[in-house]
Amino acid sequence: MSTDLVYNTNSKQISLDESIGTSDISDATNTNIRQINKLTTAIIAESNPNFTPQPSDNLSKMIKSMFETGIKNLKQNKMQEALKNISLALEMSQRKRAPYEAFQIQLQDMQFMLRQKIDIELILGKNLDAIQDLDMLLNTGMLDPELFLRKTDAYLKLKQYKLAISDCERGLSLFPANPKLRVMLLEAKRRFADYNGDI
Amino acid sequence: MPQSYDYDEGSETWPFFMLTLLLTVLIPMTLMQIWKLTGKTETEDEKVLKVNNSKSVMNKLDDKYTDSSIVTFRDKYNNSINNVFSAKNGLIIVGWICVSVLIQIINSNESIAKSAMGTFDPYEILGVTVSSTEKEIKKAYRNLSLKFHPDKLDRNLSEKERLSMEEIFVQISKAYEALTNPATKENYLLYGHPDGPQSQIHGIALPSFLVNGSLMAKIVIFAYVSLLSIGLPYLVRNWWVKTRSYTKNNIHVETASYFVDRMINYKPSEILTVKLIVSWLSHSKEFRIYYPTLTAADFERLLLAHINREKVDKSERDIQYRIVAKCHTLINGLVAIACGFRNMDIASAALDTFKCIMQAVPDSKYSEILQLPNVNKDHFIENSEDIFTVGKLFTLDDKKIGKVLGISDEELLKDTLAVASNIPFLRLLKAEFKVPGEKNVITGSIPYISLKILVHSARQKVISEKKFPEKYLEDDEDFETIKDPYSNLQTIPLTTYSFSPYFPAKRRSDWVCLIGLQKDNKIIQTPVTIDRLSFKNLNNEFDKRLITEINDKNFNPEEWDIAKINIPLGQPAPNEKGTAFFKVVIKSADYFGPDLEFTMKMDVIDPPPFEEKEEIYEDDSEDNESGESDGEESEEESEDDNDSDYTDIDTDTEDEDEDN
Repeated sequence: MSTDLVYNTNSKQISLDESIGTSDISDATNTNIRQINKLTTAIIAESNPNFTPQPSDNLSKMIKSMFETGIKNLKQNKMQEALKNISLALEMSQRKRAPYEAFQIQLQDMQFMLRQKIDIELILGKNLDAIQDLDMLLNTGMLDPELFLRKTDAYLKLKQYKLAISDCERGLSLFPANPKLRVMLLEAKRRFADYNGDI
Repeated sequence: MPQSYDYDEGSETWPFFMLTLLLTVLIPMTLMQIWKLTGKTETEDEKVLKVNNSKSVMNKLDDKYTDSSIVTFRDKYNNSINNVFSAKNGLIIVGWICVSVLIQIINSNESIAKSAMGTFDPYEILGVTVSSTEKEIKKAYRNLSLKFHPDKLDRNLSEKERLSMEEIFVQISKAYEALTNPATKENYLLYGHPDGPQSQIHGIALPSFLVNGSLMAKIVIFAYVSLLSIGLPYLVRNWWVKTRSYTKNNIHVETASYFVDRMINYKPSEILTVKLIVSWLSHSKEFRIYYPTLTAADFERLLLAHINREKVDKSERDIQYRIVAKCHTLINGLVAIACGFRNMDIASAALDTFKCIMQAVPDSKYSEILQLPNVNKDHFIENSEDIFTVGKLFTLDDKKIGKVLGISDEELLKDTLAVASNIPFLRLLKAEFKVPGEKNVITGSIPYISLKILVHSARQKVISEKKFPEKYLEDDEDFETIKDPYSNLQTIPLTTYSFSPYFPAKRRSDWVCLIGLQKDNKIIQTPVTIDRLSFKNLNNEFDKRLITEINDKNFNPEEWDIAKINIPLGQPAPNEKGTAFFKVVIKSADYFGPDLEFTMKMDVIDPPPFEEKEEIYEDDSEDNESGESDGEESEEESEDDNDSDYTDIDTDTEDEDEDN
C-alpha cells in the first residue's frame, strides 16, 4: 500500500491524502484509520498514562440519563422523541467510550439499550431498522425467545414469510417449549401458504 | 543371446503383422458401433423421456425462446460431442480400407505365394487327404511313381524336363516315406520336414527399409529420441501441471484461494447481495485464462448485464456467453468452500446468485414471476396486486393472469402458463433421521436423513401428507436398503432440462441441499446435489381453481409419485442423549420459488440397557467356543470378537471351576 497519509498537528488526527481517488482505498484501510483516530482521541482525553479498562463514571452517568429521558418519553407516549433519545444514548456509548473500556460492561449496556430501541422501532413500524438491530443483537450472542418473536413479527410485517418461518423455527428449536413462538409459527405458515396461493 | 534377425526384404510378413494388428482393434470397435446402432441400450435421456413426458414441453419452449445467438453458441460446444462419434466412425472406415489394401498387397505379392509353395506337405504331394488310410496312401504313391519314376520316363524328354520330373519323384518318395516310415514320420511331425530339423532362420516382421535405408534409419532413430526426450516429458509435465492447478471441485486453485480469502475477510456486518457474489466471481482465474486482456471489472459488467438482460456489444457477446456458462462450476466451488467455512449465509447467497444468472433475472420480490417468459415487466410491477409467486398467480383464471402479466397474445400466454405450470415445486411430506437397521437414533450412531418429497406444480392443489396412506411414506426395510440406504437413488430418473432461454448452456434442473445446525446456524457438511427426481406429477391435472376439496373421487394416491431421497449425514449422532435441531435447506439451482427450508428434530436416545448386551456376548462366546475355526469376516463380528475375549476368560475360569 502507498503511504499517502496526512497528519493534522492540531487535531492529532490522521487522514488519507485526498489527491488519491477514493476508489483505490480499500475498506480495511479506511476502517483502520478510523480506529487509530478513535484511539488517539481517547488517549488525549485520558490523563492516566497507565489507563485501566475501568469504564468512565462520568460518561456512564450521561448515557444513563439520556436513556432515562427516552424511557420517560416512552411512558408519555412520545414515541419519536423516545426513539431519538435512545438512539442518541446508544450513539454516545458507541462514540465517546474509549475502546479499552471493559467489553463486558459495554456490551451489556449496548444490549440493554438496543432492546428498548427495537421495541420502539417496532411500535413505530420501522421494521427494517428493527431487523438490523435484532441481527446485531443475535450476532453478539444474545439468544432470547423474545428476540426471535420480534424478528418473526418484523418479517411478517415486511411480507418476508420465508425468512419469518426460518427465524421462528430457529427460535423454536432453541426454546422448544415457548408457546408464543408456536403460535407465531402457525401464523407465519398460514400467511406463507396464502402468499403462495395454497389456501 | 546375441542374434541377428533378417528383416522383411520382400514384404512377405509385415503385411500380415499389420493386418492382424489392425483387425484386433477394428473388429471389437466395429461390433461395438453396430451394437450401438441397432442396440437396445437406451441412453439416460431416453429413460428420462419415458418417465417424464413433460420434458418435451419445457424443452420445446426452451428452444422456442432461446435467442439464435445462444443457439449457435450451444451448437458450437455440442458439436464437439457429435464429432467424437463421427470421428470414431471415420476411423473405422479408414481402418477397413487399410485392411482391404493390405489384403490386396498380400494377394498380389509373388514372394508370399512362392514361400507358401516352398513348404513341404506330403499329403498334397501325394494327392491324399489327412484321413486317408495307409492303403490309399500306398495306392496313390504307386500311381504317381509309375508316372514319374526315372526309369519309366519318356526318352524324348529334354534334359531339363527330365531333371524336374526326377525332382518331383524325389518329392513323392519323400512324402511317401514321411507318411509310412515311423522314423521319418516323427521327424515330419516334429520339424515339418522328413529329413529332421532344418536350419532355422530368425526373422522379424519389420520391413527392411526401416532399418537399412540410411536416411530412413536416421529418421526412425531421430523420431524415437525426440519422442522420448521431448514429447513424453513435455506431455507428462503438461498433464501434471494441469491437474495440479485445479481443485477437486474443478475450479482453478487461484480462484479457490481467492474465494477462501474472501471467506476469511468476510465481515458479518457486510450485507450479502447478488452484486457482491458476482464481483467475487468476476475475479476468477478461469475468466482471465479465457480472456487475458480483460479485467475483473469487465467481467463484472458483463455478468451484471446478463442478469439485467441488457444488450451488450456484439463483439462481447461470445465472451459473455462463455463466462456465464462457466459460472455454474464456479458457484459450485464457492458453495463448497462456504460449506467448508460453515457459513450458511454465503452458501445460500451464492445459490441465489446462480438462480439470477440462470434465469437472467435480478433478485427481487418480483423475480419469481419475472422468470416466466413474455412477462411485461413494467406492466406487471405496476399491476402486481400482491401477486409475487407462481402459486398465487394460479389462483386467478387464465384471462386475469394475462391481464396481470401484460400478455395480450393468446399463444404467448399459453406458453407462459405452460412454463409456469411445469416448474417443479417441492413439498415435504415427511422428514426423519434414520439409522440403518434401527428404530431409533442411538447415541453415537450414524444416521441419515430420509426425505419424502412430492414434486408438484404450482397450478396443482396442495395435497397434505395426511392424504397419503401410511404405506406410501414408508421405506423398504429389506436387507439391501439397510446395507446401502442410498442405493435406491439410482433407480430414480435424472431430471429434465430446465427452462432457461437466457443461459448459454443446457442444464438439467437440480437442487442443492445444505444441512446446518439450528443451534448456531452453521453448516455442518458439504452440499449434496439432488439431480435425480421424477417430474411425472407435473402432468397431473389437479387444478386448484377447479378442485375445491380433495376427496376419493378426484384424488388417487396411486397417480402421484413420491420421491424417496436419502441424504447422508456427515457426522455421527451426539454422544449424550437429548434433542438436536437441524436446519435443512434445499435450494433449486434453476428457478425462483421452489426452495424448501425446514427444521428437523433428532431425538437421540441411549442404547438399550447393558444387561441385555451381556447376554448377547455370552451367546457369542458360546458360538466361538463351538466353532472357533469358522472364518469371521465382517467388521461388526470382529468387534464382537474383541469383547468376547473377556467372556472367554470368564468361561475359562468357569471351566476351571468346573474342573476343580
